[in-house]
Amino acid sequence: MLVLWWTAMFVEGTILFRALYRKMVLKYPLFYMYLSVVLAVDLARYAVYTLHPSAWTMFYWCTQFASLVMGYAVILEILKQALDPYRGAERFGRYSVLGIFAAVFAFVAFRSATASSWSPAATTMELERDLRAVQVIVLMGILAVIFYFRIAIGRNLKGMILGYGLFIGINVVNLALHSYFGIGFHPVWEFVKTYSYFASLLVWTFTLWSYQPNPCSDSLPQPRGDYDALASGTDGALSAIRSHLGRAARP
Amino acid sequence: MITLLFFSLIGAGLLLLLALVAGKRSAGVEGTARALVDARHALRTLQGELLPPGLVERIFAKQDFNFVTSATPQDVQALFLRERKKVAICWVRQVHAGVLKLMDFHLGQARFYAKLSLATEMKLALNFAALLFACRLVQFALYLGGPYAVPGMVRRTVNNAARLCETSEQALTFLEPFRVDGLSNGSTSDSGSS
Repeated sequence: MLVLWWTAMFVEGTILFRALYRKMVLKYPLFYMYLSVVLAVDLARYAVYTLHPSAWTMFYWCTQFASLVMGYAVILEILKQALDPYRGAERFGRYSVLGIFAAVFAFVAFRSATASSWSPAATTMELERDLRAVQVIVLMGILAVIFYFRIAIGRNLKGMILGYGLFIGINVVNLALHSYFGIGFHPVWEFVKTYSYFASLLVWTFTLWSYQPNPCSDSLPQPRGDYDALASGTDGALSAIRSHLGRAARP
Repeated sequence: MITLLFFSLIGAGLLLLLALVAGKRSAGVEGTARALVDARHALRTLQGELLPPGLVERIFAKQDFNFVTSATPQDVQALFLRERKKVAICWVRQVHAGVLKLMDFHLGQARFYAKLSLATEMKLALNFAALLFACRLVQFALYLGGPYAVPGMVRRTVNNAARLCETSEQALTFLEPFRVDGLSNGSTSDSGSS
């Protein structure tokens, strides 16, 4: 396990070194901030694990929440990189994300108000599961907007999405299984958590080795005219085709 | 158990989306000449292939069927119906593809507008979904009953086709948000016809 730990730190360091060397930190600041925090957390954890093993559990969960919160920076980076050049899609994505957060918090407020025995999370592990689940839902919302508006994504962004998505997707299921099966599941949880993160690091290493931005650029031709004309034009075309099909199929 | 199912479902949902992301073809540079040529091609498909009155009239012309039934043996009639059914289904598929292209173009343009209206987009998304579903329904009807299964189909189709093409042509002018003069004047023949 210690070998994996060192390897993970080495890979994190390599990704950060490449980012500094290729000046990619300026392009994806939030993502590299997340990775820097994770590396710092790993180094601190290693020190605590070897020097003060008695403080390990407490220290682990405190730092785990630090990296969990920093994970939202990755989500923000994905949102920014994917949708920023498309002002309409960005607006759509922003409202979708806000809507998801509002729905989650409304659900939590409703449950805590109506169920007397209900608490957001009985254990720290369940709390992590719930917060990761929110990340999963938000990322799914962003991906839905990307697919809906046919937004082209480059290798770097694809890597960020795949790496982080893989990590949080697997971990939500992993944490849910741990909560359900209890302590007996702990070795499996530990194994899956470690290797899923390692897989994410490998994805990031390959996809973020050099700067490969989204195909979209500032030189993208912007449409002329206004949105209302576009929407009414589409609506008109749809009505025409629909009327045609409807009349054709009617007996 | 329900909690486990819920978290497993959202985890699996994300992994499924990630598989789609991984399989998503990395497009070239957006906004290149290729994209413009594609845009022109799709516009031409909508205007020229989707609903030309002559084509629609010919596909569903009952005169052909009447002639075949009056002058040929049974097996030829059956063959005629089979072939005509294939053509009719192919036509609906083209309409379906045209609607999809229209949708692609709308979204390709709408994503740039800061004033994009969520309500309008949702309404259009529903309309597109309904229309695509209608295409599938007509295709299914043709598949089950053949090209002459619906009595009013031919007459109404032909009557509406000409009017519709005019309407569509006017409505689809927005699909030319940017000029492609370079292509029109150049060697590419795509831009000449529309």
